[in-house]
Amino acid sequence: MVPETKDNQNSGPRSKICGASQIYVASRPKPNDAWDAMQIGFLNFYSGVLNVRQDRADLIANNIANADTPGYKAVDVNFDDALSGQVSDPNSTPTAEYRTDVTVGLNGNDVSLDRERIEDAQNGEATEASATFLHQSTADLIAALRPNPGGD
Amino acid sequence: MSDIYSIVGSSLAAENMRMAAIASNLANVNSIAAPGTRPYRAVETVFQAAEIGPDDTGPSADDGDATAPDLGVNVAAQVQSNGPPVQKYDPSSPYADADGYVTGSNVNQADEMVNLIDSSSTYSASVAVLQQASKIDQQLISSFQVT
Repeated sequence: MVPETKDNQNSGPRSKICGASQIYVASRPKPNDAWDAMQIGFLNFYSGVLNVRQDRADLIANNIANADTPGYKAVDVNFDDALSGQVSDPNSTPTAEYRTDVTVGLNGNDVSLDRERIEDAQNGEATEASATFLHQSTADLIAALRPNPGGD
Repeated sequence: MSDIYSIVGSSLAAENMRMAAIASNLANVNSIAAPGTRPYRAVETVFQAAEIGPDDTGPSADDGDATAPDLGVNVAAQVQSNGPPVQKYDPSSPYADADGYVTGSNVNQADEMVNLIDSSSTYSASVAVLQQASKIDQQLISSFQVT
């Protein structure tokens, strides 16, 4: 009787751990499924926020790189739309849109360096803010996971 | 591959090439050519937005970076200006032709200076993006330091 119950107790948790690790390994190519499996909401959210911020930084850098390219039109993503798309489907890619309220130069280029620099600075500050919140949330989570929070 | 550092790098490389061409033009602004030889012609750098390849159109779930469009700027060509060369009347010069004219380059000094300032401001904007990106990366790295 006693060995049997021990065996059952041991096999129970072990199979659970094995199951969880199998899910994780099987879904490795898609890191977002791993986030879903972890069921930590704020990680999912901040992953979307940082992804969209990174996309915006790439597009703004591209606009500045092409500030002297004839015929180039500045592109950007709408942050709200892109974020809601990322949160609902983490694998989606945000759609880039042309800026509408710009003046087109004689060579067909409508990049305004001043504006792009301001957008980049704002986007950078927002990224740092998100990173700060993510840092604090992670620290809170780790504090909550400790056996004796606040103690030693 | 289109991370922010490669985009900024393509911009810095392209502006560098443009500034080198401008420096060459300004250095040759007073060059003259012997009769029958081709005078120096101003070099103009033509930029082109990096093309988005045919395999970059559709997003796929498994690999994010391979399907992302290539961003950045390329130097499409360096063309020589077709402007008329400067003709200066100087019959005493050994380079003068039969009518006494010396053929110079077709570089316009004011145009080159305007191009230089334009290129320089784009370059500094790209450097600002680079500094911003590296600052953010440092902060993100320190964010994931768990104590």
